[in-house]
Order: sequence, then C-alpha cells, then structure tokens
Amino acid sequence: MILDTVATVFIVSTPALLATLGETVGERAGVINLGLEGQMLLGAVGSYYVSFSTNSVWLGFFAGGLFGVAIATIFALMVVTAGRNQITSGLAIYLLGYGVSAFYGRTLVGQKAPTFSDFQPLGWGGFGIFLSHFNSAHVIALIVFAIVLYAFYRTRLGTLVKAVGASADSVFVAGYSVRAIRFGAVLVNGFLSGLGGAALALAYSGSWSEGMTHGIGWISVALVVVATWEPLYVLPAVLLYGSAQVLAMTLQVSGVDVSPYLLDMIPYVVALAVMAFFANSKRDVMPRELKNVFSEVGF
Amino acid sequence: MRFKLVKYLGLLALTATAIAMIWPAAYADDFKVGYLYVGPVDDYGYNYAQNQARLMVQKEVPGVTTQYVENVPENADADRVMERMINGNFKMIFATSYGYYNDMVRLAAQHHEVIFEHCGGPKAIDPNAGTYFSDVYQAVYLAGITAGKMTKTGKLGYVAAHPIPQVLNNINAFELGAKSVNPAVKTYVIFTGEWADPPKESAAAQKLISIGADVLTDHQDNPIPVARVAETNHIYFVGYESDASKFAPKGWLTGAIFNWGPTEVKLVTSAMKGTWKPEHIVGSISDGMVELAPFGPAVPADVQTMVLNEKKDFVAGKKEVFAGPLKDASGKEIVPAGQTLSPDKIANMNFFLDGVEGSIQ
Repeated sequence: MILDTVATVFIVSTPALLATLGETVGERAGVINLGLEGQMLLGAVGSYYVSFSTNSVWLGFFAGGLFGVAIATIFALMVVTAGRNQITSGLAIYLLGYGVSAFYGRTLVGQKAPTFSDFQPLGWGGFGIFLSHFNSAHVIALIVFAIVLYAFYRTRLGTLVKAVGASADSVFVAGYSVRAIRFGAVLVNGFLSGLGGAALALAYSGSWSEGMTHGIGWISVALVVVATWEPLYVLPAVLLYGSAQVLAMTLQVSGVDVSPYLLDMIPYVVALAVMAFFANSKRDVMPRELKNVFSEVGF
Repeated sequence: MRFKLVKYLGLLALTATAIAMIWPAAYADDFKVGYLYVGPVDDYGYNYAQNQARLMVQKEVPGVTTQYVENVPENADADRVMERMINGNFKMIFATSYGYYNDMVRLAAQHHEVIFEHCGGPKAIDPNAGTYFSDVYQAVYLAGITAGKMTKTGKLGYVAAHPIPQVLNNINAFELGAKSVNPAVKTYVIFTGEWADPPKESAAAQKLISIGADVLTDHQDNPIPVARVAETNHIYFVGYESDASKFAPKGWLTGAIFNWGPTEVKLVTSAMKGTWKPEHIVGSISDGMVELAPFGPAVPADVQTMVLNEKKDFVAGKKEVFAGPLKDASGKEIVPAGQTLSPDKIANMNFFLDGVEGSIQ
C-alpha cells in the first residue's frame, strides 16, 4: 500500500520532472522560458500523432522531444539571436503551442494510438507489484534525469552553462560564445519539456485532448524556484508536488469532510509555501543573469 | 467613364446571379438545425453521444440540414454562437450542455421565430424553449450489479467530475447495484473538479487502484484515460455515456450509455410539421433514451442473464433504485423501509449513501 502510493506519486510527477529539469537548465543559462506549457502541449500532440501514424510508441515518444525542440528553436531565435524580451516571447510561445496543438490535434481526439503499457508483474512479492505500476517511459525519464545531472555537474559543458547564467561577460572574455551556449540550453529545455508532454500523452493519460497539460507547464516553472535552480533538487521538488496532488486524492477517498475543490489547491499551496520560505532565506540562489531579465538590462 | 460604369454594373449583376444560384443550392428550403457541443465530438463520451444523435437526425429526417459547433465554452461564446445561428436563419437550435441554459432562455425570449431545445435544463419555457434529459441512474445501477459480481477485492473506484446531483445519483446507484449482489462492497470516489482533465483522471484512477479497487468507472466527458489505466493494470472498467470498449478490450464490463437520437428525431420532425410544443422531457431506461452497453468478454453468461432480468424489471416499472431502507454515509436514515426517495429529492441529491467513501461539500 505504501509502495503503491510511492508509485502513484512518481507516475503523477514524471511529466513535471522532465519539464522542470528542462526549465532549470535553461534558467541556469540565464533564459527564462514561460512557454513551457506550450512546448509540453506541442510535444504531447506531436508524440501522439507520430505514435498514431507510425504505430510505434517509441518513435512517438522521442518525436515529442523533437517537436519541443522545434518550437524552442523559434523561442531561441527570438530571445537569444534577436535579443527580444524573454517574458513576452515566452508567453507568445505558450499561445503558439496551445493554438497549434489544439488545431492539429482535432483529428486525434478519440483516436487510439499505441501507448506505453505497464510492466508485467514479476515475482518478488510486493516489490514486483510495485514495479508493475511503471512503464518504459518512467525508466527513460529517470535515465534522462541522470544524464542531465552528469552533464550539468561533471562536464565542461555543464560548467559553461552555469557560468553563462552567473556572468555572461566572464564567459565571453574567456572566449566562448554566450549565444551558442544559451541557444543550446534553450533547445535542451525544448527537448525535455517536449518529452514531458510525450510522457503525459503516451505514458500517463493515453489520449490527446485540447489543453491537456492543464497547467503542469506553469507549475513546472514554479517548481524550478522550489528546486532552488539546482537540477539535483528537481526530483524532490517535483515529488513534493506529486505527493501533494496524491494527498488531495487520498484525503478524498478516505472520506474527509472537506470540499474536493479546496483539496485540489494543496499542490499549489505547497509550492507557494516553499517559495515563500526560500524567499526569506539569506542565501541568494537565483542565477544572476536571470535577474537581469527582470531588471530589463538584458545582455 | 460610362463604359466603365456599365462594366461595373455588369460585374455586380453577375455576382448577384452567382450568389442567387449558389445560395439555394447550398441550403435550398432545408430546415436548418444547429447544435452546440461543449467538447469535441470525438471524445467517446458525452459529446460523442450527442453527435451520434445529430447524425441520426441528419440521416432520418428528410429536408433537414444540421450544423454543429464543438468546443463551445459555457460563457458568452455560447451566446455568440447561438446569435450567429439565429442570424444564419437556423430554425431550431440544440444547446446540449447544462451551462448554456441561461443564455438559451434569454435568446429564446428575444427570438420567438426559432425553436430551442436544451439538454439537461430544469424547465421548458413558453413558447419556444424545450428541455430534455434522461434519468441514467437505473442503467448505472445495472452496471453496478455487474461490477459487484466481478470485483474480488470488494472495492470499486469512481472517477467523477463534480459533486452535483446528477453525478451523485449515479455514484449512489452504482454502489446500490453492487451492494445488492455483494453486501460488503464499497465504492471509493475521487472528484477531479473538471469535466475533462485527462492527466488528473489518470492520476485519480491510479490512486484508486493503489487502495485496492479492481473495477473502475468514471463520470467525465471522456472515458479514455480511466479506461486505459484500468486496462494497463489488468482490472475491469465500466463505461459511461458511450460504448468505449475499444479502449479496454479485455477489462470492459458494460456501462450506461445515452441514446438521444430517437428523441431528437421526434423533436425535429414535430418542429417541421408545426406540432412542436415546449416540453420538459425526462427519459429513462424504459423508453430507451438510456441503454445498457454490450457486455465485455469478461462477464460470465449467468451474470449477463441476471443483469438483463433486472433490466426488465426497470423497463416494466416494477423496480426503484432509491428504495428504502437507505442510510447516508454518516449513518443517518434517508428513506425508511417500504418507501422510495421522491423525484424531487433525487433531483437535488447532495449526499453519499452508506458504502460510498469520498468527500462532498
């Protein structure tokens, strides 16, 4: 029962895990992308379309990431290459992703595409049953998480991303292209959030419907703050959000006499509470170049 | 200059002729009927069932042209879509979602030349607005019997949108049906707070499985997410609103499904003949406005026979779903033995019956 709940929390959190991870990488490079929700939607519709038309859930899943890259390229061209305002460009990307996915997704509503199926229950008693709640997409999400952690903390590229977010001038003086690094970080964000959308469509709800992310992209932007911009902390931050969501449901089925609408607010209240807590902390965790975005200095 | 004017007038005349020729070809003297749907017509749920009715009207009533607009939100957009239909010379408008009611009432008062029909509204309004809906809980009760027979854990899971009377009718009827064959059975309910939120519906379904439910059902606009979670976890699924067995081929048991078509055919036909009257129509399983979906391969023949026998009792009017003695979830008596719940109390239901676990407020 406890293992089952753990499984549910992880399954609920997977799309947000990928999206939050992507946004964290982007923001550490000094680019905030408010179009996350739109990127996820495009990833979701793209993955469902490819899975449906090629009959291959794996092609569909990775195509979701590529659709995310495609729309992130537009964003990167606007904010990195042309130096436009990140906030308004991000909102434009959200609207674009929403509109395009809703329009081209119309024919996919009610269609049955191949989706990930859960692992067959093995022996190993309760633990085997625990494992049988998952499917390949969850394993991939964990592998991707590990790869991003390694790249971010243990490679030269990761150090450069951090450096660009901390001080673009220093990186420039050291002879690297700030724009190339930021462009790359934005594309990584696009890939991961597209993959998050694909996980939502192919591993989670097994269907496409208009606006199906229902704010997961937006909450992921907030979860970056909860994770204090550290990719390592993305997992606990996302699981906290996931457990809050599962807690709301657990309270409902245990017959607590509280309105389900109030219970549904728990994940958002938790995110707000954590943010309020960290806003008070003396340690300054926000990437410095990101602050420039808000003070309109830009680079 | 004069030449140019002639050319200009000639061009205008040509255009006018073309329009005059195309217009009747497109619409002739057809009786135009417009439909508003709150979601996509391919959702295999509420709107799918509604659209099946429209297709039936289009096919079976001669001289009718139907048109629909899907994804119309329950706000001023509904008003605008209906206005456009009225201006487009539509003779009859079906507003098929609960939240369109107030807009429809207002427009009906302004446009007596158009006939309005609303699905689920509380009352008809003279002289040109009718309402229709169907009690569906008898069929849900029958689906509940099937679920009660098939469960091994004695736990049923219900993913529902909002704690409103129509939804509570179904949840309570489901539990009563299951309990009639399996006294220890319990129904666990999670409200998602949305008519359509696939990720949340999946999460709720997953949660219900984690507490041991081995039959899931839903009251959402789109059954696919819950059906899929049930199927991938190798448990049973009871559908709602339309036959969604293709999304859970192994686990599909049965389900209560709407069959609005025959009613709408009658309404449109009478509107064309001029015999239409504003009525508040309430259907049920006895007149076929609601049906029990075909059974899935998992349901044994003896269970099927048993459920179909109970169905006969409902059709013959020999059986009531909400018959005493009934207690609510807190143990308070709702209906004493020998009595039944009044239609008014059913229409305003705001409680869970004994055996249902969940929270409403």
